[in-house]
Amino acid sequence: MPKQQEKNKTIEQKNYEKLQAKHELKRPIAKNCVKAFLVGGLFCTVGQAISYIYIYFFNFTEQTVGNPTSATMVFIALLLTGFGIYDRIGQFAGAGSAVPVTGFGNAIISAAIEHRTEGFVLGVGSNMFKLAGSVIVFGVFSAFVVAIIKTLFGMVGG
Amino acid sequence: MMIRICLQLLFIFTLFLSGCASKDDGKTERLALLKQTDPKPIDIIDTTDRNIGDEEAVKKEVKKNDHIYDVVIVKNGKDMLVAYKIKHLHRFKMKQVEKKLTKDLNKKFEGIHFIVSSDYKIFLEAVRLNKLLRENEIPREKAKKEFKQLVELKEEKT
Repeated sequence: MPKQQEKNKTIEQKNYEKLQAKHELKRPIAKNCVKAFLVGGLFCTVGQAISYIYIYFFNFTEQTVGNPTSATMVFIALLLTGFGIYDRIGQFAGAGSAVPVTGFGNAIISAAIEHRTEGFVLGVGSNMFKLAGSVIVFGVFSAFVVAIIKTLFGMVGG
Repeated sequence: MMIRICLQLLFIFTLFLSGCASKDDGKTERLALLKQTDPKPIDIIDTTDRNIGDEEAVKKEVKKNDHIYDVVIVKNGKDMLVAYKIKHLHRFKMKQVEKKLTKDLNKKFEGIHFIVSSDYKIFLEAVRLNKLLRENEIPREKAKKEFKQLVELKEEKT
C-alpha cells in the first residue's frame, strides 16, 4: 500500500517533499537521550532518597516502601506542575520526565488544570484521567498477565 | 520567581524532615545503611559477651558467603535474627542467597530458629537494638517486645 501511495503522488507533492527534507531540522537524538537519562536518573535518585527516608524514620521495609515512595513522587510532581516548573523540566528532558512515575502525576494534574473551566464534574472529574487512565488500564492488565504467567510457571516448576 | 518557589518548597520539605529527626541514633546507626557497621552479636537474655559462642560461630558462617559484606546478629532465647547486607551487584541473587543461607544455618546449628533477612530496615533496626542492649539502655522485656516486632515487620508484605 505505501508503494501504491508513492506512485500516486503528483510531481508537486514529490517536489514539496524534497523541499521539506532539505529544510527539515535534524533532531538531536543523542543529545535528547543524554538529557532524558540525566533528568530521569535525577528523579530516580530523589525517589531512592525518599525511600531511604521512609525506611530510616518510619516503619517501612524495602518490601513495603515502594507504595509510599511512588505516592510521594506523584505528589511532588503535582506540586511542580501546579507551580509551572514541571512543564519546563518536561521541555528540557522530554521522555526523561514523562517515563518515571512523576510523569503520571503530571499527566493527571495538567489535564485537571486544563479542564478546570468546564466545571468540577464534567471538566476536572471526567478529564483528569484522560491520559493517565490508559496508564492505569494497561498497568493493571499487564500486571494481570504477568501474574498469570508467574502462577503458571510456579505450578510447572513447583 | 521560580527560584523563590523552589526555595519555599525546599524550606517546607526540610521542615517536614526535621520533624522526623527524633531518633536518638549514634554515628554508626546513622550511617548503617551506607557504611559497614559489623557490630558484635548480642543476646537479649545475657547482654554480656560471656556466652557468645554460638552467635559468633553463626556470624563467621554468614560472613563466609561471598555475596554478603555486613552482618548483625541479635539472639532472643532460641530465636536468632540474622540481618545482613548484600553486595550491590549481587542483589539480583538476594532471594537465592537468603534461601541458601537459611538452609545452611538450619543444617549446621540445630535447635536454633533462624530469622534471616537482607532487608535494610531489618538491618537498621537490628543495629539499633544491638546498640541499646550493649549500652544497657533498654529493659529486657522491652527488648524482647522490639525483637518480636522486628520479626513481624520482616513478614510484612504490603
